[in-house]
Amino acid sequence: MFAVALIVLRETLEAALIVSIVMAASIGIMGRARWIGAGVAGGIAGSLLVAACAAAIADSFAGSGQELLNAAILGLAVCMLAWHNIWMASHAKEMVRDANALGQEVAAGGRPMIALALITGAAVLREGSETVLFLFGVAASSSEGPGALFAGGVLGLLGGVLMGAGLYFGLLRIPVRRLFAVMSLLVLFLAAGLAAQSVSFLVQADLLPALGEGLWDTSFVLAEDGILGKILHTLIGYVARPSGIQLVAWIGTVVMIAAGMWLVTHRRHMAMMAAMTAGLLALVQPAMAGAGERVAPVERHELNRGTVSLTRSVLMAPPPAARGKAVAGGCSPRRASETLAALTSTRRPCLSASHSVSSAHLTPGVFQIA
Amino acid sequence: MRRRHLLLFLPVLTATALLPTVLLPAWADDMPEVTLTFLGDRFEPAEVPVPADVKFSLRIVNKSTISMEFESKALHREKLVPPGKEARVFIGPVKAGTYEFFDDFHPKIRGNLVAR
Repeated sequence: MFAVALIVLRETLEAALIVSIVMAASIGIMGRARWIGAGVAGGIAGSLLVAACAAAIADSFAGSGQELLNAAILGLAVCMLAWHNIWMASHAKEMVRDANALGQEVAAGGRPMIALALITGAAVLREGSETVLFLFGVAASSSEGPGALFAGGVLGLLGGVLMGAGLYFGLLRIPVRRLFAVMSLLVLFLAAGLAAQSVSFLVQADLLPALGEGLWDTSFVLAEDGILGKILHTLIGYVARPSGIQLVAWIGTVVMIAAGMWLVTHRRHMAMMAAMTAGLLALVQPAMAGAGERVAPVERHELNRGTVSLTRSVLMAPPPAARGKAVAGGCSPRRASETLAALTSTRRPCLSASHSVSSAHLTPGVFQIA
Repeated sequence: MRRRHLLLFLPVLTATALLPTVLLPAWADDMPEVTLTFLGDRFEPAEVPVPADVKFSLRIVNKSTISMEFESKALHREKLVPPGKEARVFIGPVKAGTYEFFDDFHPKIRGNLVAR
């Protein structure tokens, strides 16, 4: 029974710690319990599904299905944590103010609530399917009675949940003002650790080079299989004997998320970067549009009866075939009508695609249609 | 406006995460292969000779009737093998030395990869 409990505890611990962090990191958000609960429930359902399909997954992608699935689950969690953290950074001031002033939950306007569900779902899914398979294995080998098995499973699960709760209530003792900073840091390292795990699966499947196995070895100080090692492995991505690619992924994730957080809190710089990007795009776009086609923003399409005004955003919007050509002058009637047909079908229901172009030589940006 | 930038950030992250899988093909040909068998109560062999300083593939055959998970903390590898199935993990290049592994579902069942 205790052997079963110990393994279930180990498998549960990682998920429990991540759920605790997500709960602590989303304090003060209305409806967070619902989303996190949905994530956990979805993760459990997914675990059963993955466990049931384990053999099929193992055989897929030339035997690398498991690695790809694990890497994808972890990668998703990393992206969601990044999104969450950057969102928090951009709202930290108001969150702290509201939490202090009102002492109650604030509405989540535009908050990535789905991220909360996906992070917890991914965490539960990753460890859950292994737990299910393990328990099935023990039940099948019948070395223990079903009672002992059940008791062991519950005991292990309870242990994991208790440790997660311990972390959660520990984090709650941090004053609100500092909690946001602490949680940002925790989420940052959590994401980095998961990213390192994710690339490790890709190395295992031989899709990434290891860039050196065992850069250093600190297992004599802190072994990864111990309980503290395991907790630190989950929380900050501690690896006693890291490979080069794990280090690269860890540092890369920290830098990218930190840069994102810095950018949203320094909006001036972001505006500058956005302007630079827009300028670069404006330079590149005419070159891509092709020879002889000038790109000019047009707001109006003159028809034979009246004028239809199109905003610039309409012209810049999909379908891609219409972009550039719609604003190019002197194009063939066929091209112009194709463009208009594309525009009308997706954007302008007031124009009918059956209109045909009457003039062969059109002035820039003006379509005459009969 | 701010939210749109956040949304832009997501695909960038995702793309960065997935880029390597697209760019790098598997180079599994003419690579040394080592076979390890799981018998339900032990690994066979328990001391597995493997080549040092080259990448190799480890074929894990589960001849028992229950799922097992090959795990090595030293090499950060974990691979679930369903009963009666076999699986493959790529390892290395590792320096000469001893690398412990175990069945995550029965941590008392252990063995070593001995790289020479």
